[in-house]
Amino acid sequence: MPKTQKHASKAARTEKKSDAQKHGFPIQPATGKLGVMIPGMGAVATTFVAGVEAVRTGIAAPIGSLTQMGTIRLGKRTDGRSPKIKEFVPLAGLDDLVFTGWDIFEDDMYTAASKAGVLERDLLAKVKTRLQSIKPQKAVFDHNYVKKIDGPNVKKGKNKMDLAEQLRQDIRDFRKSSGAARLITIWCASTETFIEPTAAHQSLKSLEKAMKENDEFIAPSMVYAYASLMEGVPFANGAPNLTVDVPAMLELSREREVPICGKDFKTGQTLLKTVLAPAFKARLLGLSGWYSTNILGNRDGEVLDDPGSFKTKEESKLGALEHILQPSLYPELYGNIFHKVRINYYPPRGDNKEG
Amino acid sequence: MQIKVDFLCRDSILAAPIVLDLVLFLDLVQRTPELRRLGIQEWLSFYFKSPMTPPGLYPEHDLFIQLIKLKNTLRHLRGEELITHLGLEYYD
Repeated sequence: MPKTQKHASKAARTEKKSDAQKHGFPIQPATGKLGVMIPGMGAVATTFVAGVEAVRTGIAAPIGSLTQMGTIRLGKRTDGRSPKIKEFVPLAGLDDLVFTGWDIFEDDMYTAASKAGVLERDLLAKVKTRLQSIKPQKAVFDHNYVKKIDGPNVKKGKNKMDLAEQLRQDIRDFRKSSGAARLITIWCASTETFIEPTAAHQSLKSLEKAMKENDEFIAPSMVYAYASLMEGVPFANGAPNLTVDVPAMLELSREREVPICGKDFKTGQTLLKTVLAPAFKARLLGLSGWYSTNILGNRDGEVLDDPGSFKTKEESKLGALEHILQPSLYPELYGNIFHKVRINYYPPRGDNKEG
Repeated sequence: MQIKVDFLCRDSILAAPIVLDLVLFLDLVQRTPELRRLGIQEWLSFYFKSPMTPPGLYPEHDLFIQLIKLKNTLRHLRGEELITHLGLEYYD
């Protein structure tokens, strides 16, 4: 009897699914403003906001963005249906975006962008007013997690739960002051020192207890993630930090139906690696080694000059090859690869990375 | 055989469009119950060096598999046919 029931429910599910397959799933419309909250208002965050402002005012194109320039083929190759992605699904428009952030430095976004030296001064000058209006809120920071930098704009609290409460207040204040209908948190701050999951990360209950007890294995990024999810705000992790990749955060995310994603933006070297490695694998060309070197001089490079932060990055970069090449299936081709990842911090390079 | 790639880039300029896409797609997710309830948004692996997966499931790193996953997820949401690239039907 239970078996029949199980089958029946499965059939019902399939039935339901096929109905949704035909007509699509419900999606609420993207009405109102979308607030973007960024821990870490450095080179990445300021380039993103300056870029959005430049596109919004029509002085730049959104190059590299699937949501803005990408298309999607529908139906058969002979159907000739390839709408833009942003016309196919209801996405917020660039005019709907409003920004805030947290940083350990007090610089507004214009000053931070000028110091980062990524975008040309001409372009920055054209979006100066908008960027100047975005000032960082005091950050949650722990020097033990990012050894190479320190700054004055930091929150004080009696424990990590208290710090999370302060962030939650920031989030509620921003929701109110910006008039945003919905919010997103996206981590654009530094790589933290390497930590492995401990008992504190195994359930929401143990996480909350550890935060109250100021457990050393609760990283600042986790305090942000916890605060976001508790406020019902989705969290994206742009760094290789553990952050939301622990059972406690998965539990919180699923329980509250607040989405999470990560880790570590695939920008340069790994983008190429995940294009080249599948080609070798497809042709079953064996490999003896892969030498990945990076020369860079921005704050990212400075932070990664610390062995603890580098270890976090190294783990993130090493995993890709292993999973693509599947040495356990192809021991004679990929069983003995020497994979070396090096990061060389060389300040004169600035943000101009060579890999 | 040796392949050497000398890759010169401004890292933050490559990261900025990723930030924009993730913001807009995560916002789509929070308006879509079918995706929101899942927690981890594996279909956004395309944007990550080290994509998150639930325990016991290995991540897809191949950029083009990731792109197919992303687009098929959008097709799935809108009730469009998934594209498998089988293509036998063109020869019927």
